[in-house]
Parts: sequence; C-alpha cells; structure tokens
Amino acid sequence: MNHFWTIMSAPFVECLILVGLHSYLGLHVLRRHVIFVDLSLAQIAALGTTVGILFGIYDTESPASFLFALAFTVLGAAIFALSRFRDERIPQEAFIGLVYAVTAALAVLVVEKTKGVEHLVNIMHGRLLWVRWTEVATAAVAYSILGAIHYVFRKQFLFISEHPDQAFEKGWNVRAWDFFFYVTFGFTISISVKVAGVLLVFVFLVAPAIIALLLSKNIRTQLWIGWVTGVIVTTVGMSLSWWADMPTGPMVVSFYGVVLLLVALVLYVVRAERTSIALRNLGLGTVVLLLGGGVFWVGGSLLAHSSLANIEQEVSFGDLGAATGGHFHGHGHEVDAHAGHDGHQHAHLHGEQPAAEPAPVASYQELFEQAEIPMDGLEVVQEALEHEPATGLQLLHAFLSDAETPPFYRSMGRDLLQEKAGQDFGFLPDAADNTTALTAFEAWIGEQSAG
Amino acid sequence: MFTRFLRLATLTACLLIPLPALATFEVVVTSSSYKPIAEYIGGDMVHVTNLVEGYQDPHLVRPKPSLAVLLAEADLFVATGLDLEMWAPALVDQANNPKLRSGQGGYVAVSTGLHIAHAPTTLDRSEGDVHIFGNPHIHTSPLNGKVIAQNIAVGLKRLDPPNAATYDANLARFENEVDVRLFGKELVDALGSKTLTKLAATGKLIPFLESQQYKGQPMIDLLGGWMGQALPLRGKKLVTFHENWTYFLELFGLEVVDYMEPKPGIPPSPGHISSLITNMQEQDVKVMLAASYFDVSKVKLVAERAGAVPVVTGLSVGGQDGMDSFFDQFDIWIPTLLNAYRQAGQL
Repeated sequence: MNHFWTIMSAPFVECLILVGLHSYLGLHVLRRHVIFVDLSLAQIAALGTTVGILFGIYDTESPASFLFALAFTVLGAAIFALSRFRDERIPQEAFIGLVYAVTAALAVLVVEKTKGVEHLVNIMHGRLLWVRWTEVATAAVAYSILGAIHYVFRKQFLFISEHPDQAFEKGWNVRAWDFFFYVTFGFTISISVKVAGVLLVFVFLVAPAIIALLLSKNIRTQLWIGWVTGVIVTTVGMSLSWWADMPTGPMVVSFYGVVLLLVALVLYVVRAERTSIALRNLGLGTVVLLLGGGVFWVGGSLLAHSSLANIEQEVSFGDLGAATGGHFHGHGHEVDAHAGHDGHQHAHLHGEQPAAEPAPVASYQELFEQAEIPMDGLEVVQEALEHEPATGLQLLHAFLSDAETPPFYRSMGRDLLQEKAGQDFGFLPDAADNTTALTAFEAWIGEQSAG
Repeated sequence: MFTRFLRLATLTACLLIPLPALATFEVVVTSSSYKPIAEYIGGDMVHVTNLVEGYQDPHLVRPKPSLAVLLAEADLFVATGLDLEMWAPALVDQANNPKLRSGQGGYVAVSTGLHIAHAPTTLDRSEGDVHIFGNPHIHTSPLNGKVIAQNIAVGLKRLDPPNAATYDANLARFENEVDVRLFGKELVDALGSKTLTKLAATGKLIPFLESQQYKGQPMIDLLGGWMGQALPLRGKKLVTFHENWTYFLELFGLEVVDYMEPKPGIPPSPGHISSLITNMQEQDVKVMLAASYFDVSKVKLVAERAGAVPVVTGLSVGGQDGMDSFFDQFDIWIPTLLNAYRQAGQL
C-alpha cells in the first residue's frame, strides 16, 4: 500500500479528466452513428506521429511530435466532415473503418523506414500507468478549453448530431459545423490516446453513452449518468488493478464491459413484462454459459497438456543433440556442432567437461598433458613435486621449456626451481631464449637421478 | 554503323559497372553485433548483411520480403542459435535455400559452446519471454565475442576450405584484440590469453590478481583495458529493464537487484513497480539501465520516482550513435555506467 498513491494518483486523476469530456462526446458519437470514429482518428494521429519520426522527430513525447499528430487530426476531421453523404446509401461507418485500416497499414509501412515500433504498440494499450503529472495538467487545461467550446456551441453541435437533415433545410453549413466538431473531437482524442490507448478511450466514449441511453432519454440526465458510472468504474477498476496486480488500462476496460453487461441484465429483468420469465431466461443463460465454460476448461487443459509434452520433447532432443554432437542446440561440448565432422578441435572455453567414465587414476604426466591452461599445469607440477619428486622435476622442466607458458607462470616456475634445486640455473622468465639454463637444469636432473 | 555504336556502348557500360569480386561469399547474420565480427574474420572474402538493426527489438522482427531474398542468396547464415530469433526458422523456410537449414553446412549457431546463463528450470510461457535454452543476449560479453568469432570462423572454413589459413589468422588477431582491449596488454603478456579467459569466465580473475605479486608489485596494478576501467563498478547495484546485459554485468561484477519487467517480455504492473521502488530504496539502488529499443519515458518515470539515474543505451551495434563496431559497445557502456554512478553519488 505504501506506494499506492505515488503510483496510482496520476493515472486516477487522468482517468477522471478523461471521463469528463469523453462521456459527453460519446453521446454525440452514438447519435451520429460513427462509433468507430475515435479509433480512426486515433490511428490518423498515430500516423502523424510516425510521419514525424520519418522527419527526424524521434521523441514521441515532444511538442513537435504532437503538432504532427494534430495536423493529421485536422486532416482527418476534414475527411470525416466531407464523407457524411446526404444520401446515406453508403453508411459513414464503412468509410470510417476503411480510413482506420488504411492509416494503420500506412503507419506500418512508414515505421518500416524508421525507428520506433514501440509507439505503435502503445497506441493500442496506452501507458496509463506511466502518465506524468505534467501530462495530466496539460490534459486538464486542454480539456477545459475544449469543454468550454462545446458548452458554448452545445445547441448547434447537438442539433447537427441529431437532425442533420433539418439543419441542411434550415440553410446551415453542416459540413463546416461537422468539420469544427471533428476538429475538437480529434484534439481530444489525440491527447487522450497518447496516454490511455485506443482501447480505453473507445470504452470511455461508448460505454457510458450506452448505459446512459439505456437508462434515460434526456441528454442532461444522460450526461450525469455517464459521469457517475465513469467515476465509479475508474475507481473500482483501478483498485482492482492494484489489488490483483494486473495492467491498469486493460483492467478498467474489462471492468467497464462487465458493468455494462450487469446493467443490461438488470434492466432486462426489471423492464420485462413478466419478471419470472425473464429470471428463468437469465438462469438458463447462466447454465449454458457455465456448461460452455466447462467444455473450454476441460478441452483447454487437455490441449495444453499435449503441447507442453511437445516442448519437453524438444528440450530432450536438445540434450540428445549435445550428446551426439550433431544438433545445433548442443550445450557446449564443442565450439561448433559441426566441428567434430571436420576434425577441428577447439578450446573448451567454459563448457563443462563431458561426464567421464570412472577412469583409473591418471598419472601426473597425463594430468599435466590434459591441463588446458598454464595455471592448471603448474598445479600439477606442484602436486607432483610433493608426491613424486622425480616426475615433478621432469614436468617442471617441460613447463619451463614450453614456449606458450606466459612470463608470470615462468617466474612462478623459476621460484619453484629455486626452492627445489637451490638455484635457478640463470633462468630468466622474460628472456626469449633460455636454452642454456634449461640444458643446465636437465643436466642437474640427470645428476640427481644418478645420485 | 549502328551495331558498332551498340557494341561500343555495351563495352563502355561494362567498364562503368564495377563487377563484384568473384570469390565473395554472402554472409547473412541476425544481430547487428555479429556483423563486425564476421567482417573481421572474413575480411575481403565476405560481404556481410545483418537482419536486425541495433535499434530494433531482436525478439520481434517483422519479416519482410527483402529478408527472405537476402537469405535465398546467402552462402552462410549466422544466427544466435538459442531461441532468441524465433522468427528465423520461418524465414529460412521461406527463403527455400537448402544450404541454410540448421544442421546443414551453411548454418552457424554462434552460441554453440557457450556457457548459457539462466536456463530455466520450468517451461511455461506464462513466465513471459522465456528462452528455453537460456539467456540469448550473448553479444554483451567480450569473452562471448571470442566464441562467436570462433564459430563464424568454423563456418567460413567449411564454406571456403582453401582460405582456411586466412580465417584462422584473422580469428587469432580478433581474439588477441579482444584480450588486449579487455585486460590490457601488460596483463595479457604476463598471464596469457587462456589463463585470463578462464579466470574471467569463472569470476575468479579479480581475487586472483589481488592475491598475486609480480615483479614486486601487486598484480592487480597490471590490469588495464575494459576490466581495469570497470574496476570501480564491481559490486555496484542496478536495475535493468529486461535481462539484456546478463553476460556483461556478470563479467564486470555488477549486481542486478531487480528488473523493471516482472517477467521477461511482460510489461510491468502497478504492484510490481511499487515493490521495485521499495526494493530500490531499501537496497540503495541508484542506477537503471535499459536498451534504447524500450520506451524511454517509462524508464525515466520509474527512475524519477525511485530517485535513480536512468541510463538508456544501445544494446547492440547500431543501437546508438558511435556504436559501430563490436568493441565500440564496451567503449560506450563502461564510461556511460561510470558516469551514471558518479552522477548518483555512488562513485
């Protein structure tokens, strides 16, 4: 609970601000039969941001990037104002959907030439949880202005939304009013989608409007219903997101869906001519739903079981491959799985040694030859000197003669020599050629064994 | 007359168009970080193209026609080999180039032979972007760079046996350059590559150097290169966005306290961010590290709330300006981290 407020307060206030204007605009959207216009405008704004990236504006949070989004939104507003045909043979929804699909595809094409795939993903889900107070403040100011415009022109906007034909007959310039409406709408959407994502904005527009239209016919009442449900859903949804530890935006969206369903069911029962029949239907529906869910649950766990078995099989293939050295998922017994076929041998950098058969104890000579690095070699020499001095001296000679022994280990070897032989025969760890010293050492070993 | 003109024109055109060298092999690598290594080993004999740019998320690549075309014409395909590039097999299938199927000669898995960090014990996609064969961001350690180079050299020699000696020589040169840049020339001369590599890979290098004397001075004083430069970073704590730098952080001795993602590839939830901030405050973690392909604003926001310094940097070659070679990565990451800890007052 300690961080609840530091983390959740900005998103919560942002949501309340969104509820304020979106619940109202949603009523317009439903009246105009342009349900998906927000998706479409949001996608146009996103295309603007993407094109901005093409021009080198990489910071999608910057004002320059936002200007690109707004410019495209105005363009979108013009498109939607012009596409409202008086003759409604082609529903405007078809056109709106088309604009959405085309702009989304264009954005993918543009993004291909740029960096910044992530903001396209953000458009869908938003980053409500990550909203900053400065953004909340900007939204509050912008929405106050947009809200004031809608308040001043509320009668005109409502009239062209509800009765465009009458407006035409009265000689209104409906296209100009439509354009004005879509510009304010588009500005609202560009600001909200950046933070809340398309899904949440869509639900904030449409869900309160649907609930309100179900409950009332008066626009003032509808608006209040939208606001109240919006605030309740936001509060409960965000708390649920916190307690269940689930992503915030999707949680609020899903919860709004559940609330809508509950309201619809309650209304169905309350408004039914015969409550008993309504209740019976409701009960039947629940039973069917539970049965269906049961089938999914059983079927799903069966399918999951078999697919998990597949993965396990794949992994055991990987181990098998490593053991035979023929599969590219091998675990490190060779530098390359194919190296074995070519006869190349490479150093085992970190690979664990293959599990060896219990072998007879190797001689110091063998251990010395197996040592991969000088450090291990020197260790064998030391062990040998302690337990089998004769072998140890031979190995020390071999260690010092090896051109690949680095200077540090040569100087350690020299110290060992000094300790065991009482002299170093003039061996110099840094010298390129130590033949004289090594010959003298060899002769000394010969004397020792003879003696 | 006209035919003569035509012949002349054709001849001139032929002279103007530079012909590609005949013995050039087309090598296609997945990560941009493998490209400079393949060029180092292959020299003039190869032309290398990478499929994933440094600013892209290597987990998600949108297959486009050009990628399949590249693979169709490739002689050698160099991939990580763990399941980082889940999109690669489909692309290889589509390219219909039988040379490249895994198990064929034209395929090189550069992770072969590496000790792979964080191989999971449970297999379940609900754990997020889990790589069932372990952490695949192998190019973040210079030591792994040597293994990558060895694997590429094996592939090139298989493809072009007559030039095997050249590839071996280039490989030796590359390994030596990594050693010198990583440990400093003095130490490489004194201890040799094999010993240093083994000690560093097992995390024993620093204690070893601290315990040894050489020519009357503490051996640790000989340590140069990136390891020497990064000595002040040892034991420092940080939070990363994704498990991107596991190998780098392990080698240079930094401690990852937590990840911004609760599980790899799964976006953070409010509860996770809350416990992350608490965790950071309790353990006094002041640095957050993220690859440039993540959303910078998220990193900055959490860093702001936790009072930490956000570090956003390229994850692989091409991930940010100036990160043009395999070596540039470390030349950028280490000073950037040193700066961040200085800024955070922990250095």
